[in-house]
Parts: sequence; structure tokens; C-alpha cells
Amino acid sequence: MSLPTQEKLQILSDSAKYDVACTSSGLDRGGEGKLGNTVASGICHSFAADGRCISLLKVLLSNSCVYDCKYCMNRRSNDVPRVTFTPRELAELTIAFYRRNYIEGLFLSSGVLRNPDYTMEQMCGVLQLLREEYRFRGYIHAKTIPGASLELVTRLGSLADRISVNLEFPSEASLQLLAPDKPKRSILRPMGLIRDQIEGNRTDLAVYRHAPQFAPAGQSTQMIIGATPDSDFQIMRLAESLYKKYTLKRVFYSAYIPVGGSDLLPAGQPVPLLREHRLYQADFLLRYYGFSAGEILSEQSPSLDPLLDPKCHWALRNLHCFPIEINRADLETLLRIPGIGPTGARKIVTARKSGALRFEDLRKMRIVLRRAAYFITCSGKYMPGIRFEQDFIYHNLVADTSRQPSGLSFAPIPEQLTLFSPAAPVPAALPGFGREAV
Amino acid sequence: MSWAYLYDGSWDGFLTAVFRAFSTKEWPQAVLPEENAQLALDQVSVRIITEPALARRVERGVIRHIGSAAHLKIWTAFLSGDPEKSTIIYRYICTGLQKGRSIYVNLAHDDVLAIDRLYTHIHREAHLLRGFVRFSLMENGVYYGRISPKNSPLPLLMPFFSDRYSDQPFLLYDSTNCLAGVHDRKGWYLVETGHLNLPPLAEEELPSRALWKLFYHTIAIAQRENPKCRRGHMPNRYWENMLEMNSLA
Repeated sequence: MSLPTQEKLQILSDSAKYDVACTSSGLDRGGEGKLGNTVASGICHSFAADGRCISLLKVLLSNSCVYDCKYCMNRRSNDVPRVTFTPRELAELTIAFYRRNYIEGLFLSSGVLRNPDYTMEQMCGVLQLLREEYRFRGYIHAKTIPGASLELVTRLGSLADRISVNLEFPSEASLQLLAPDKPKRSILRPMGLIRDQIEGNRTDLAVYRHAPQFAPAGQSTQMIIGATPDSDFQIMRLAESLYKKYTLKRVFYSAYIPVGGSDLLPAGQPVPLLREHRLYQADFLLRYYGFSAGEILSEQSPSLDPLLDPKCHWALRNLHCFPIEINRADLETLLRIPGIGPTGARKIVTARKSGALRFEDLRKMRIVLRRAAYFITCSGKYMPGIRFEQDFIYHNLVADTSRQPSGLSFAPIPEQLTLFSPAAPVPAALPGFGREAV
Repeated sequence: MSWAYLYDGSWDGFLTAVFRAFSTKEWPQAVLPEENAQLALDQVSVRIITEPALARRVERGVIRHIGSAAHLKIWTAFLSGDPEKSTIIYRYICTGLQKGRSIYVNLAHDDVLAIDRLYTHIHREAHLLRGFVRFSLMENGVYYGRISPKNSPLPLLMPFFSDRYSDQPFLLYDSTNCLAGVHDRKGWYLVETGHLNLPPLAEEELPSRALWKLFYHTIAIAQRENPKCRRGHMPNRYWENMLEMNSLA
């Protein structure tokens, strides 16, 4: 009763479409006469109709599952057709796509067939076939199955470039409620193991150049946002500890889309993508800008502002750190300016060696001043027309809708011009600084 | 009165023109490929005869006085499709030879900004094409792909693809510049050709294409359709050569 590959691909890629993966892994590996290589920056091969990049052949090995997780459309109690790729079939499909430059590699996950160990063995089978028989050196991202034995996790890591363990939900309570078959321990234990293996492997490689590599592109994880009442602050604190304790390369967030149809989940409206977007912005602040979760959010204001990006939000609450002098501040300080990223900051540091920079120079160097202008000085001078006052900056930043993500609408802030009385003061706890204020 | 140098469009020709500018001290206002060259009213044109030996001298001079990073930058910028590119690169060389290595940090200098614009654009296009090229398997076992770029990125793409597909003979055709990159398992080379005689597709090609299109359409989340975002990442002009998109192009 083997279905044609076409039908299997349709069902198994449809089930994998909510998984997130990215090939920008920092892993550069040449072809060495075999098939395939990897590029540190990652390569996007196409973009789907939803605007997400397609870089990997993203499929499940099987959508049969013995678990009954409420949020998942492959849960045991859901009545959907079940199919499974044979390892050979999937390997051939991957190679056919790869040779035509459709994809950067394979992303493999799976429902739980029989038991976690059996499933992992099957997955290792596919990867082994690719690596050994087809001599494939392209990118492979594999998901571990919660509850599988640690030996199998180790084997998977020696075949894949990146492996991930899905956290699924940001708190243990949510996990218990919605994924009763996946105890927190079964998720964190393999994470710890993978971290130790990666670190051990680094020492081995330092000693023996040809030591077999273990997950050279590191590990990542993914969680669903908005299906449970966890706050942005909890999520950011969790992400921070994952980066620190488990040295993860990435944490992926996916805004919840109702597909499960379980009573335990919020029905109807999907979670706004804007929340996902803001979480990713905050996540980048953790990874590339030297921020800590406690700086971005706090117990008192636990949600990210929909109107302002997290960095602007932080800057407005910490105006005492500003203005920053472009010609003198060090790289870490420059990175704290809203609207200036790692590329811009490095450009500034390089360019000012040849002389003091003016606003005009910054503009010529294509440093975007739309947000930065309120927070910087060049040789001690503000940009003309800028008033360094909290309410002035706040209103201007919020009113600048040109870069606001779509799907966000709000009434323009009426501005009353007065000659003598000060502009309507912004309350100490700035409005719009909590989700509920909108 | 000012000078305009016309060269034959080749890299060596361009460098010979630069050599002449420095040896005669005529400091031309424009350096242009002679094909379709448009001169200003007061410009006197000089036709440059390509001399590879002089071109090598200019290259050595650039490396010695500015550095090999500058050499790589002008070589890459020369792949640009911008009609002004030769004048822009010539100005950069002049400024570079005057200022030496300090040109690397002078990011707000007009001549540096101009060449950086070319350099960034060509690299960006090459990066996108590394993902957007689609190969088709021909009956004779060769994979064929076609690009229609704004610049001339084949010299940047061929090393990449021949490392990736070292065991796979392929041909990548640049229809804008009528240039074909050929990889034959041993190495790669470029051929200028206006016309390609392609064999028919291999038998297994159409099923693979169908599977890819199926995958492409399945992987999108229907509730989140966002054509504007897709267009931003994958501009329309690439669609004609991408098989999953060409029905929409």
C-alpha cells in the first residue's frame, strides 16, 4: 500500500510547515570533491507565498504518532491519513532537489513511530544513507525525538549539522497541560547532552584535526507563542537562560495558529504575527547587542510594546544613557542606539578614524537616522530640529509609521501646538508601554 | 576641453586606459567602453589599445600602494552592469593611489561611496542568485541553469557552484551578457556565446520539477499569505528563471 512519493511529500511537508529553521549557521564547509557544501551566511533558495524563506527540504519522516499533544495536528486522536517515507525514498528526493539547486539541504523531523528510539533509528538511517552512500556534504538539520535514548541523540548529532530539541511551550505548566507525553525533563536532558557533546567535540578537534564533528552548526529550539498565558518577559528570560546555560545558537518563536481544535487552546483568532516579530527583535538584542532580558522587560511591564521596537522602548526608559556621541562612543555603546545595528556601528568605528563624522557623513554612509537621530550627537551637536525630550521623541517615533510592520493600525496622536504651556506631558509610565494599553 | 578614454570593454583594456591616464597626466573626465559610449560635447575621445603588460603593471601598482583588498574591490566592481562603472573605478584608483591605505577607513569619501555602491550591488545579486538558480537535468547528463542578471556575476558564481557540485557537469548561462559558465568535473571556464544548442530534458526531470512545485505550494502557511514580503525578498525580475515562479512572472 505504498503511496506515490508525490502524495507522501504533500502530507509530510504540510505537517512540517510550522517548524522553523534557518541555514545561517556560521558553518562554512567546502565540498572536497563530494556533493555539496555549506555557507556560513546561509542561502535562501526561494520564498513561499507567506514571505518565509525556503532553504531546506522541510519534511517529517512520518506523521504517524503515538503521542496525543493537543496543539499538534498529527496527534493520535486526530483523524488524518498517515504516511511514512522509506529512508531510500527520502534520500533520493533530497539529492534530486539538491542537485537542481532547489534547496540547501534537509530538515528532518518526525512523528513518533512505535516509540521514540525506533523513530530516531529510522531518522539516523536516512542521514546515514545521505552522508555515506550519497556522499552528501550539504546542510542537515534534524529534530530529536523527546524520550529517545541519549546514544541515539549522539548518533544523530554526529550525522547532522544542527540538531534541535523542541521546547514547545515557554513554561512547564503549559507543557504539562498541552503535551502530557513530553515531560520537561525529556526535553532538557538531551539539550544538556548535546551541549556537552558539542563542547567535548571542540576540544577533540583542537587535538585531532580529523576528529568526527558533532553538530558543527550547534543546536536550536522552538516554542509556540500565544497558545498559553506566558508573558513576553517569561519568554525572554527563558531564551536568555537557554543561550547562556545551553549555549543554543537560536531560539525560534512561532505565533500560534489554531490547527489543533482542542478545548484547552484558545480558538478562533491566530496570535498576531506582530508579537512574534517583537519577540524576534528582542531575541536579537540578547544575541547581538549585549542586552539582558531584565533590561528589555521587567515584572512590572512584562509585555513588549506593539508600537515601538524593544530597543526604542528601552532607550526611552533610559534617556539618561543618551545622547551618545558618535565620534567617541565605543562599539558596545553604539550598538545601544535605536536604529543602529552591528553593520552600522562597525562602519562608524572604521570611518571616524579618518576624521570626525558629521550627520551628513552618516547619511552618505547609509546609516539610517530615522530613529537614531533622536539619540545621538555628532561632535557635540544634535541634529537640527531635534528636541531631546521624552515626549517629543516618543510621539515622533510612534508617528513614524513608514517602517511599522503591516497589520498594525492605531489612531494618529493629535498634536496640540501651544505657545506657553508645555506639550501634553507623557505620564511617567508611558502609555502604550504595555500591551493592554492599546 | 576634457578627455574621454574609450577602451574595448575588457578588464585589461580598462587597466590600460588607467595606465595611460597616469603616464600622460591627461586625467580624463570619463573612461568608457567604446560600445555605446556617449560623450559630452566638449570631450575629446581617445581610443585605447589594450596592452596586457601595462594592465599587469597597474594591477601591481594598486596592490603595492593601496593593498590587495582594493584590488579585489576594483576587480569585483568591474563586474557591475552600471554604465558609469569604469569612470567610478578609475576615480577610486586615482584617490587610492593618492591616499594609500587610509582610503579603507574613509567611508564617507564620494569616490569610495560610489565604488562601494557597485561592489555591494554585485555581491548582493550574486548572493541571491546562489539560491535562485534552478538547474535542469538534460538528456546528456549535464545540468543547465539560466540567469538574467543586471550585473555580470558569473565569475563569482562559478567557483561557488563548482565547489558545491564538483561531481556534476553543469552549464550556467548568463543571458544578459551572453556568457556561459561551464563546469566539467575538472574545473570551470567561461565561454562567450550568443546561442545555446540545448539537448532535450532528461526523463526524470519533469517529475522532479512537479515535486518541487508541489513542495513550494505546500510549505506556505495559507493563513499568512504575504505577497509584499515575498516580493521584497525575491524581486520579480528573478522569477522568469525560477520554475516555481515562472507561471506567476
